[in-house]
Amino acid sequence: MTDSDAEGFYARTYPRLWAYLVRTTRERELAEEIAQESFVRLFASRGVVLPEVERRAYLFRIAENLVRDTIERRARERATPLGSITEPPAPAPFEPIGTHVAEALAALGERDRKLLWLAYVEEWSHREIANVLGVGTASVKVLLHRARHRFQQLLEGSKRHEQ
Amino acid sequence: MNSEYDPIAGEIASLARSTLAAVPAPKPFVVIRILAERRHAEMAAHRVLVLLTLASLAPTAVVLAAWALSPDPGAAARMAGAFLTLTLIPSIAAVARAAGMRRPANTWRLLETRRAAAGCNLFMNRRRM
Repeated sequence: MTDSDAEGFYARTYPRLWAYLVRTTRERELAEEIAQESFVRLFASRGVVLPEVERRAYLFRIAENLVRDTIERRARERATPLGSITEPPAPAPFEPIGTHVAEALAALGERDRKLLWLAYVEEWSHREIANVLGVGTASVKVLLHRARHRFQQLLEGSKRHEQ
Repeated sequence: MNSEYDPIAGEIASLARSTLAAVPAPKPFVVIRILAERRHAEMAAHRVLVLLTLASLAPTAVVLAAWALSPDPGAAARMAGAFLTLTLIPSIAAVARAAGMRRPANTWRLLETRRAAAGCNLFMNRRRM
């Protein structure tokens, strides 16, 4: 992979990864940090030589692992009383762009948000989603169906509330 | 997913467009490239160190195995003692070196540390004030 290819991939994929992260973690700063770190890890690894579609999935998988690490670390830090002494202020949650769609998506569980984003925005197949989220391919169909149903209910609820 | 068949597809697509419009400027590619190269070099150095440690431990393992399997334990113990004086010191040194060397630098941790440090500085500045 040449430098210009890598740069093109970075320019094309960074916004998509950031959008995915900011919508699923709901933290702007965290999304930026994880997106940057994911690219550093990708370019330092053998994943960089993969074809573009697989490379993108590999990148999202790295980001997903980093999100999981962060959640686990935060849970550990919360359990340690000493952590509260030097703990920096909690990052402000990402303000969703004020639409009922954003509110409905934010009201969903984390896994549902990820499933819907990867299926509808990234337009990934069930197999690709399963690889990134670490669930069975057969489960993705069921989980996605439930997520879609919940999202639709929330969407209708927020629309009714708006009227 | 096709919006013709799925009513929520259009809704999510519009949300995606508005989110993508709010993407902050990413770090220059050169910065990412340099960080990745540094990480790659550190990972390679770490791998070499692990190999060296294993290579240094091998002679000690061979001497101990030979001693354990020897049919004449008395003579073998004397020989093993002599060989161990030669092999044990490099083995211990290699293990100590491996234990002392930190794992490859992690920019993720660095970012977290920087954030924590910012929190500390804020705390200290407040105290100074």
